[in-house]
Amino acid sequence: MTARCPSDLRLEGYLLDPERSELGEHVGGCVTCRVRLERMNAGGDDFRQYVFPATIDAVVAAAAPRPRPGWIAPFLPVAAACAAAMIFLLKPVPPEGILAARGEVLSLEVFTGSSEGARQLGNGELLPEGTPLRFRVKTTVPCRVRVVSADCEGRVVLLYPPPGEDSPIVSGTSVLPGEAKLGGDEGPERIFALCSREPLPVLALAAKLSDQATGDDDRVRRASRLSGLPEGTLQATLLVEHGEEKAGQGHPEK
Amino acid sequence: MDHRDAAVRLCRDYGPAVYRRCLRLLRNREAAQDATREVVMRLFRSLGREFS
Repeated sequence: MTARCPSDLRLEGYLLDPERSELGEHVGGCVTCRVRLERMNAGGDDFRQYVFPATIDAVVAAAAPRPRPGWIAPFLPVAAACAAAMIFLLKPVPPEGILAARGEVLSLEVFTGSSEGARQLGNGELLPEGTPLRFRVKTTVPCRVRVVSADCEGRVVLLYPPPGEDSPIVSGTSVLPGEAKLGGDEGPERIFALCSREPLPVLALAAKLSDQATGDDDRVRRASRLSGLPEGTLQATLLVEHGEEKAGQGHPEK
Repeated sequence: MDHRDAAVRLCRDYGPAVYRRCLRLLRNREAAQDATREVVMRLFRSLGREFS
């Protein structure tokens, strides 16, 4: 690869419209840029899962400005300028990730219980074997929810509802009843919440998970979005890592 | 398109890029989330007519 690697801003442009971007050839042959894009996509997932709902609420409500540390202020014009540049210079793309065609949103929160109460898990958090999990989903549109997981060994687990039961319709914020326990082998396991107008065919869903989100550790970690689902299906995901916490190893920052 | 739809569209299309930029500048997730919210709110006020 002889061409110089593009700036972050140009890569943002590529992410906004990969089909029309002139960087496609470079990115296709540049491992460094592909790694950069994966990191950027992970940041996008973080935004969709943790920032998007609150941001929408704040924007719509036009809430009074909240006090914030004074040291943030100098950076706001820079970020605003970058955002404005992207809006004026780049065309928007069809929604990706957890977003469906009309801007509907699904988010997934996973909690683990302890004697001190429930604690929300961060993405990529290390979990001891047999940790009981509970799920909370937030959706902007009524839909049928299912929570599944896939690991590097190719195991696909129907976490909610239990096998044989139909996906219930949820709307708004819903704590899903019951607990689930994930597999015990060391390595990553990816949890997906899926919400659709019609119940998703379980076997077809399991096949997609097996194809796209299993195989090896990196594949599980990278599979932040399932493709080929019925149109309008919302999805959200969280990665957990199985294993025993080593001394000095803390939980990831929320 | 009502206000909520417009906000969702703005946030959906450009929010991830703004958040990544804020995170890179601030190197703190909480601060980046605050800054992202602030930036999107300012953009929404400034560009509201474009998106409605």
